[in-house]
Amino acid sequence: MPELHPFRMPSLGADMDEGTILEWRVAVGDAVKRGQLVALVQTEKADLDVEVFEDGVVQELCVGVGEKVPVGTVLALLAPAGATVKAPAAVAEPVVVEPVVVEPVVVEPVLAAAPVTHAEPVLAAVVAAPVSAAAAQGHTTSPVVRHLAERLGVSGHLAGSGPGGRVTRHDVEVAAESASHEPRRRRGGRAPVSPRARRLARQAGLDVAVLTGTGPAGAVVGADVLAARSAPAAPTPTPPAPTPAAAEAATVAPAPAAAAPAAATADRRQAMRQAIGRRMEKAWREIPHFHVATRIDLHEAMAWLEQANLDRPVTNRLLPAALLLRAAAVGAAKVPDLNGWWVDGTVKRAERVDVGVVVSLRGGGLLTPVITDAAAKDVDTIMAELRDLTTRTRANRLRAADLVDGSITVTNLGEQGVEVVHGVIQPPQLALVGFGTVHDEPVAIDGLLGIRPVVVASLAVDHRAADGLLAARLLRTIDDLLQHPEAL
Amino acid sequence: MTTMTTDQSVQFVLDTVSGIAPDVDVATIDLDADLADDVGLDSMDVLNVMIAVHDRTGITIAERDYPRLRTVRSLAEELVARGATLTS
Repeated sequence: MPELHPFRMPSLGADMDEGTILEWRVAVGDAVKRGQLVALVQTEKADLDVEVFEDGVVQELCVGVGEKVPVGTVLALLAPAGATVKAPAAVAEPVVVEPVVVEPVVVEPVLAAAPVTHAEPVLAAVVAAPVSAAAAQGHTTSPVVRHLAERLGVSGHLAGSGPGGRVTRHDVEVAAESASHEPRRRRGGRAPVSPRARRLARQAGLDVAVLTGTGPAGAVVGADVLAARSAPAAPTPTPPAPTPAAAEAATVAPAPAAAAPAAATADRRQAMRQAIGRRMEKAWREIPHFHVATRIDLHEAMAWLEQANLDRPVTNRLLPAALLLRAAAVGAAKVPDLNGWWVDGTVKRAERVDVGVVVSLRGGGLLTPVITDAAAKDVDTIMAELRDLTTRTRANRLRAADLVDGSITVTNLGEQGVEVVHGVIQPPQLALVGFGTVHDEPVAIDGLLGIRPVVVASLAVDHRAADGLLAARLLRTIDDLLQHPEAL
Repeated sequence: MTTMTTDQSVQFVLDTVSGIAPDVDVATIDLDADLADDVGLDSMDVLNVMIAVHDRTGITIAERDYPRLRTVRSLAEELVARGATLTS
């Protein structure tokens, strides 16, 4: 009898209490390796891919899709690597993988054929009865995966590699990639829609998101809208009876077509707003903040950046934000008593600088993914990670590893045009570095008046951990570093 | 492969912006609106647009040209002027 190791719901952020499994990426009997992404978990702030921390074989999946469970709950049991695990009888259906039709149109068929007779998340209904689900062809795909297929413009028959022949997110992505030559980074965005198509769709009262695109790379073009407009009325989205009342259902089951995505997004925004609110309340309540700021002459830094970018292909271009981040990280490494956490009434220094980067979301809200060991990474690496994290944050494609607790956070409001930001520390960290807009200012240089690009760097500090002297030292260090950008 | 017409170039730029900022409704973008100030793209978005332009057309827009290419129309016309064709 192999010794089983529990795989528990991880804490994906300091203020996370619970999470919902949106999708399992592995099945009973699968071998897994340390670091492998095994599930997609929804938290208040983001949908995150989580990984296992050891090699093994999946013995049992204990929590189903759609279930919200507290951090620490056993999600799965893993047998040691190399063990043979028999699939449980209920799911040991014929091994034949049934092709599943994934239609890029509305999700109604799922709801119509598998009526939800009580307010239960639709996903749970699909997964909780794998035998009947597998038998009812076309209903072994979760609405989340159907939505992804629709967005990527994947249609037609797909072989499902998930349990019971289910089509998984991986299957859809692979199909989307081979169908067109979409570069991998488009995963997060929906299929392009031409402006003409959007205009025609708006006039016709159609939702472009549900149309199949025949243009390049699956783009929806004007002809597609015209065809849809004159086609015999496609099954009009009928509200599912009864309307799912559970918040989980509203967030995860996209039906009826046009209204639900907007409502779901609003729900997510609200949840994120509340999560941010709680965190900021806690920060103000518990941390006695003080703030210091200083103007930094960026003449040398901007000149260096301009030349550095002329020497780089456009893909590797550096933004000022990357240089400022690097300076903040190296500065934090030199003032270690401001790089860490307030724990049990004392400063706990971090062993390295893990910089939280505040990324604002266009519709409101923000997330703070982390660039780990930033003081050891050169500015090009930091730029690449910054670009990757920003893109994935805004596309809601972050992984658990991105949201580990940072040892210090940097907020850069330069784009928003504010001169200085007096920020709020992310508990239990000790400090927050802020940068305002880089702007030209009159400056005294050797007794003469000159114009220089200047940025106001600010620092919010936990007064329990440090005094003004240490805060001033960190800002001065960052200033000095930015006067020698070539050494950063 | 023929070079893009201005209309095609405008559509290409709009599609590119849409791919990078899918929550921006490209159908309502004024072709002469400032992408940063009016449409709300930040420097990372703009960089991603320039990278996409390079990947799809092979054309590199230099940083010093950014100030005069702040609208969809001006960027589209620049691509046409430089004989852009879609290579992928």
